[in-house]
This record gives sequence, C-alpha cells and structure tokens, in this order.
Amino acid sequence: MQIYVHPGDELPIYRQIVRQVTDAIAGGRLRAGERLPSHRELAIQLVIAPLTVKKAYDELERAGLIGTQRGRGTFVSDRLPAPDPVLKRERLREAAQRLLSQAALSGVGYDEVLSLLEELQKEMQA
Amino acid sequence: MNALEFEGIRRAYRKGVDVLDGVTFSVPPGQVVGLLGRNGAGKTTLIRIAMGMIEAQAGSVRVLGLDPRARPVEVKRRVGYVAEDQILPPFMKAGQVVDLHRALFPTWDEALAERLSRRFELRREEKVGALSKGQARRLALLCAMAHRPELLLLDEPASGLDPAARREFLETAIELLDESGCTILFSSHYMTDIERMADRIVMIHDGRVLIDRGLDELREGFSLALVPRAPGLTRERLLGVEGCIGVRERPEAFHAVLRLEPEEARAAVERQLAIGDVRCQTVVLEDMFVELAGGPS
Amino acid sequence: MLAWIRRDEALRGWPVWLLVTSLNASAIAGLLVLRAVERRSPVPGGSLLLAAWIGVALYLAFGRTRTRARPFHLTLPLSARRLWLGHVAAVVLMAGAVALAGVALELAHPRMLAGRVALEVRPLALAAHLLAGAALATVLLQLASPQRARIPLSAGYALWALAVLVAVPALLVFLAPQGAAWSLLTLAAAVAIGGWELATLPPAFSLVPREAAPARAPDASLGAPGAGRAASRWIVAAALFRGASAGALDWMSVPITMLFAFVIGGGVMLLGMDAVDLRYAYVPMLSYLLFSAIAPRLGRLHHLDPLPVPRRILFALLVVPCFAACVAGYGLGAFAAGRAARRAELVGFPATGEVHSVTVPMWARRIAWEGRPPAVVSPWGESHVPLAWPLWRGSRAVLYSPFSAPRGSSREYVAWQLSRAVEAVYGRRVPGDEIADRYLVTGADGRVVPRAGARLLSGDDPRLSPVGGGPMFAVLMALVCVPWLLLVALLLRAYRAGVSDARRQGLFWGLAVLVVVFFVGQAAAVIAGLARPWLATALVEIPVRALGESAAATVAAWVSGAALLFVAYRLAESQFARMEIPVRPIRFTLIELARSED
Repeated sequence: MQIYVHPGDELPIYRQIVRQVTDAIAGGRLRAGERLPSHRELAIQLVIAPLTVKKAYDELERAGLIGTQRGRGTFVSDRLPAPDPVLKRERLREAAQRLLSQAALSGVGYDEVLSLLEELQKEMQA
Repeated sequence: MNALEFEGIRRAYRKGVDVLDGVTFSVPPGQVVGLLGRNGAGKTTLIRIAMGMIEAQAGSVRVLGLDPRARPVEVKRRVGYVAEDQILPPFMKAGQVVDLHRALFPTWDEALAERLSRRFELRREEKVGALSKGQARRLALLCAMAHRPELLLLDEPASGLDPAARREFLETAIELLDESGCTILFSSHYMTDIERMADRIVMIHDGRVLIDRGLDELREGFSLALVPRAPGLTRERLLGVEGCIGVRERPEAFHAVLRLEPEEARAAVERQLAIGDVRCQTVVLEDMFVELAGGPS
Repeated sequence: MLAWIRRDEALRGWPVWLLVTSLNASAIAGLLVLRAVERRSPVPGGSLLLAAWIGVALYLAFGRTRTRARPFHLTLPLSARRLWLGHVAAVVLMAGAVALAGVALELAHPRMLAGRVALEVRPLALAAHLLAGAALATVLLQLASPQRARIPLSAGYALWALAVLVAVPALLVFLAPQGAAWSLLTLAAAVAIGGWELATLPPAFSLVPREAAPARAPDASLGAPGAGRAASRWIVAAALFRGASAGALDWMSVPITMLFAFVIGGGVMLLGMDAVDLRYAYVPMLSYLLFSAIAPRLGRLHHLDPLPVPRRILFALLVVPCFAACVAGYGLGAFAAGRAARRAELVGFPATGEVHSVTVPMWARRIAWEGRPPAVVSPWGESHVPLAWPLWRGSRAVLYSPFSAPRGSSREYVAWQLSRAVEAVYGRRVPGDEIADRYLVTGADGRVVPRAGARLLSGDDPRLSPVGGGPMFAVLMALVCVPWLLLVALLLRAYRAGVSDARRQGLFWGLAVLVVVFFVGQAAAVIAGLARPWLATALVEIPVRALGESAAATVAAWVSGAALLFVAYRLAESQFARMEIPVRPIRFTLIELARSED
C-alpha cells in the first residue's frame, strides 16, 4: 500500500503514518503477515526522518498491529488485537458529525440522510 | 557526551543591542534540531559561534566536547558546515574545491563522494562562480557531507533553492542521517522541511530560547486560541493566563499560543478571563512561528 | 545630463584618486626641482608631464572606468548613446581633474612660484597637453567591446590598456615642448575617435556576449580525483594560496611591491647616483603598500574560515608572498645599484659653479653630533675644518665630509684627500703623488683643477668596486617590515569580538591620515627648508656604514633585525589567530574604497 504524509497537516507526521496503517489494516488493504517497508525504506520514500518512522512503528507495535522479526523485517501481525470499541465509536462519531453538518448545510433533511444510509448499506451487502 | 552544548551565550554586534542574550541548550548525539527564529534573531550567529568563527562575549560552547576557539582544527575536521552566504572561492573549479576538501578531511569517503557527485550532477571543470545557486549549494553540501561528519551545522541550507533542489537536499540529509547517525542542527524558514526532519525545535526570540521542545510534543501539546476582542480585554491579561506563552494582536481578535491541549486551553481561557466564544485548535509549526515571533514583542 | 554624470561610477571615490595621485606627482616634482636647482638647469618638461601622467594612468587603469552601464541602468529608458556619453564625460572629467591636480601640486613648489627655477614647458602647455592626452586615452580605451555594458577584463584588454597608457604620454612628451597650441591636435584626435565611437554604438548595450561560449567536452565526474593526483599537502597549499588571494588587486600589488623594493634596494640609482635620497622616501610607502596588500586578502578569507586549517598556516600564506616579493625586488635593486656604483665615479673633484670640491658618497661622510667637525690635518701640517651642514634647521648635529679640500688648498693636500677618499670608498691604496701627477693640475690662477679628460682611477678596473655599505639589507628590511607587521597586528586586533564598526573605521582613517601626514610632512619639511633632502640618507647610511666596519656589529645588526622581524611576525600572527574573519570583504585600502562595489 502507499503511505502518503503531509507535513503541514493537523496531525504530526508519525501519527499520520499510524492512522494510515491502522485504517489500511482495518479496511483490509493490508493483510495479516504482509511485509511493511523498513524504517530506512519508508524514511527515504516519504522523505522524513528515520526516527519519525521508528516512532510510528513503535506505536503500532505497542498496539499489537505489527511486529518486527530480527533480520526479516516488519510484518503485519497474524493475530490482530480486538479493535478498541471506544476508539471505533470515536472515529465513527467524527465521520457522522461531518455527514450531518454537510447535510444541514445543503438543506438535506434528516429523513433523507437516513434513507441515503439505507441505500448504501444495501449496496455494500450486495 | 553531548554533541553540542550552549551555555549562557551572549553576543552583541553593537553596544547595547544584544543579538543573543543567554542562550542555553544542548543537543545529544543523533538528534536533529530545527532552529527557528526571525531573520536577524541570531541563528546564524549561534551557528557561527559553534564553528568558532565568532567568539561569544559571555557563556561557553562545546562542540563534540571541545571548545571551538581553542581547538579549531579538530572541531572543524569533525563538523560539516553549509551556510547560505558561505560561498566557496568563486574562481576555483569545482574539482579543485573537492580535492581541497578531500585533502583536509581524513574521514573523507570516496564512494560517498562519487555517489553524491553523480546524484548532484556536478562536473569537475566548472568554475564555482559560474554555477547557479542551486548547484553551488549542492557542491557545498557534497563537501560538507562526504567526510561523514559527526555533526552537521546547516544555516538555512535550502534557502533560495527551487522545490526540487530542496527536496534533493532533504533526501540526501536523511540518507546521511540514516547511514551515519550524525547530529544535525539546522535553521530554516521552510516549515515543511523542519517538520519532515527535525526531532526537536529550538526557537530563538529576543535573544533567548523561547521554545525548546520535541516536535511532536509541540504539535500535540500546544494549541492556538482565537479570542475575539472584548472591552477590558488586553494583551497583558491574556498573557497572564496560565500556560500562555505568546499573544499576537490582530484587528479582529487576539491570537494566543498556550502550552495546553485545545480543549483544556479553551476551558482555561474562558474560565480565567470570564469570556465565551473562544476557539482553540492545534497549531502547525508555521502558525506557531508567526504567532510567537511576529508582531511587537 | 549633468546629474547623470555626477552619479556615474567613474567618479566614485574621487577624493582618493585626487589625493593619491597628486601626492605622488608632487613628491616627484619636488625632487626634480631640487635637482634642477642644484644643476642650474630648467626642470625638464617631459619629467613633469610623466609624473602627472602616472596619476591619470593609475586612474584609467584601476578606476571604475570599464563599466559603461550597470544592469540597473539598462532597465531605464535611456539610449546607449546617452549612457555612453555620460560615462565617457565622467571619466574624462575625473582623469582631467587628476591631471590638473597633479600639475597644480607640482607647480605649487615655492621655488617655482618664486620664479627661481625655469621650466622647459610652460604650465599652461603642461595642463593643456595633459588634459588632451587624458581625453585621448579615454576614448582609445573605450574602443574595446563596444557592445558590452561593461568591458570585460581580459589579457587582450590589459595589453591594449598598457599600450595606450604608454603610447599617449610618449606622444605628449613629443608634442609638449612645441607649445600649448599643439594640444589641440591631440584633442582633435580624441574628439574624432570619440565621435566615431558614438556613431557606431549599437542601440542598446548588452550584458553578456552575443555568441555562446564554445561547447565543453563532458569531463570527469566530481568524485574521482583529478588527473595527476598530487600530494595532499600541495593541493591544500595551492588551494589556500589561491583562496587567500584577492584576484586582480593581488596581481597588481606584486609588481608594484617589487618596484618599490627595487627603488629601496638602490635600483633608483640607475637614474643617477644622486637619486639615492628617493630610496628612503619610499621606505614608509612600501610599509603602507605591504599593509594595504594584506587587507583585501583578509576579506577573501571567509571562504576558508570553516576549513580545518590552522590559522598560523593561513597567516603565513598571507604574509610570506608579500615578503618574498619585497625581498626579490630589493635584491634586484641592490644588484642594479652595484652595477651603477661600479660605473659611476663615486669619488671625484667636479666643479659646482666655479669651485671644485671633492665629492664622496653619503655613506663616506660623517656626522658630528657636537656641532664641530674635527679639523683634518695632513702629515705636513696643512689643515682645515671641513664645511658643515646642520642636519635640520637649528640642529646641533652637522654633516661634514672628512675628505673635503677647500679653496686655497695646495695640490698635495687635494691629492692627499683624494687618496684618503679612494681608500675609504674603494679600499684601494693609491698614493697621493700618483693622483696628483695623473689627475690634478694647477691652473693659471693658482687653483687646483682636474686635468682635462683624466679619470681619477686609472683605467676602468672591473674588479674595482666600492666597499660595502654595511648591513643595509638587514636594516632596511627591518625598517620596512617591522612597521608593516605592527600595522597588520593593529588592524587584526580591531577584528575581535567587542570592537564596534565605528572603531574599526576610526582605526582605518587614523592610519590613512597618519600615513598621509607622514608623507606630506616629509615633503613639506624639505620644501620649507626645515630639513635637508639628504637627511634620511645621512641618518641611515652613515650609522649603517659604521656598523659594517666591525664584523661583530654586522652580525649583531643582522641578528637583531631578524629578531625584531620575528617578534613582529608573531605578534601579528597571534592577533590573527584570535580574529573573527568578517563575512563581507574589508574595504580597507584607499584604492579599494575608490572601487567599492556598493
């Protein structure tokens, strides 16, 4: 997968990496056992300090999402930890907030939003 | 042993106008420090003091444990220096400049020099005076890095370069960092470069160290409060709020930087000043620079 | 248009040019006048012309005369013709002012004003020819690279400039004696050439040449060491040497240093043995010149500051080449002086007016500090007290020649004195009788005169050379180099932390004023009659000769000279080690100020 960082973003760079890797694992774009770029490779690819990459990987390791094997590299964990329900709800809340604000701005009513959601749910399950 | 130590540095160029007035900080080996400050704030002076090219009028400096005024040759052998205005002799050819550096630095790495010269596309027979700014800067970078210095002192190394050249410089510095684990102190106005490379930010303002923190800590632990104007609300009152380190006055509002996370900052300001309608957000480096260093102090 | 001229670069630093060149001209003129007075001949016009021309040549060569227009001017709606006219007018104005200043100061000599000295060429003619010559030289120099906003400095241009600056004064020297009206010829030529240039100017100047430089063959990548990899030390030394040099200004200073040192070494005596006084006038000038040769190189050192090179090596690179040029010039001068001395009749009995007197070189004379020279008594009892000149007005010490033979001396006495003089000067014993027979006759009126056509020393013995004058090299080098290094130490001391810019400026101007005062004071003292022109010569040569008479004293002189030099060098070196090298070049010397970029 392609990681992309933006230096001027609200989030510090290491956190952007953590976020992107986490999202990728959760969304299935990164599968268990898949190899991640080494500190050096990622630092050179993204043009950031190697220490920043190390910081991001350390946090991901602490969360149990990835693991480093000496001499072999960094891989996504085979057994992913149970997702943190609070964190998940937090994320969803943010997304939902954005959705509702946008609807309010465009003058779309709450009922329409609900019917939109139902439509999307049917498409995903199909 | 710290790679770089400044202790109470004081320096004035004109009597009564202190450029540096008690600057103190240390850099452990392997760290990358971004030095921020307005033009004329003393960043160049500080770096030159570290190189031994200028003497501090008070205080002490130690580079790799040595005093750069007492042991200049030893220090310069282990340090790489690139500056905006330090131009190599204009009538010398690029090849001669490299030969000179090769002869003077015992730790010169031939393979690295060759690699860099290929990447930078530099030719031997060009006169330094005829090179473009970007090429001359690349040559200086090559000469500074090819001897694998333990400490890199970079004084606005990317200024005046086009974005591609800046990116190239960053890539080279990061490679060197990764391979040699050297310590870097660099000053720059390109906040994005600093955000990419620096572990720690030291900001010089009014001759003193205003901020000395890890970059991530800065981004996550500080916030910017936008306080609308109200009767009885002055800059001084805002500065009195606990955790506030700088306030800038604007026509429509005050901008205050606080050493607290956004939610806590908002609560603190609203509570201590008994006002509402305060907006707080995390602050990117550029905005922090502007709010702290811009405007009257 | 006038405002335009006023702002032209060519006028930059006008006080400096006027000052420097007119001082030089007046110094030379002063000497010419004195010589003319002594010889009772008119002051040669050609020499006065050339003396004033030196200033014009220096200005045209080294002033900002090559820049017709700066890039800023090219952005303004001004035609090339206007720019050119403005520039050339400014240059001619300045060159003319320099020439006139030179002439004015030359003629301001009191004796000339009093009309006691005749001039070969009248002042009006001098001025007119010089002005016309300046105009002609200017337009001739402007013939180079007519398309360019700035005439590029190249070997070709340097040669052309040299040719012009030598040919024009030659023309002037030829025309000047014919009268002032002939200067119109030169002027007409200048106007014609200038007019032609103006007519053939392009509509606009360009900053760079039209044709691209020839393609370069792809050469080696940077990382690979250069072909013929020399030893590291040599590379470092060569690079540092070039890095510490100041380009054109440096190249200029080497021949001038050697020239001054040549003069001091005695080479000036090729002009005639009595030009020896000029030697000592140049000693302080050489000190200041060496000092000002260092300053622009100091300014270039900031490139080398970050490199791990010990300061003492950098300092040696700064100082030693200047010193070497000095020594080389001196050596050549001493060699030339030796040859001149061999050909000249150092001991003689020429006539000054109606009186014949024994002449010996200055160093064979003596100083009587008490005011009364001892009487010179011959073996048979004839004696006289030599004539004495006070060293300066009102001094007790007097200069006298122990070999003089006054009017009324007998032939034997004259011969005896001559014999003593020959022994003192040449170290050869020639008996008085021999001299009397060969060289002297008693004239009809009883006066002793030299025999017509006879030479004092029979034949031109090639092995006959004057006895050495003592440890002159040691003494003169010390006199030049110790003040030089002390001045350098003083300058470097001002570049430490804590010394403000104002103090540095003050130091610079103070030193410059000191030098000017010294120089002018010297000349003024001589002109006003306060001091004799030969004062410095006597004060240096006679004691040095005394030193030379004993081997121990000679050795002591050499050792103390070397020791003083060493101490001064170390002093300056220690100041250099503590110095903070400024990033911007130091604009220090008078010429640099006149050429300053900003």
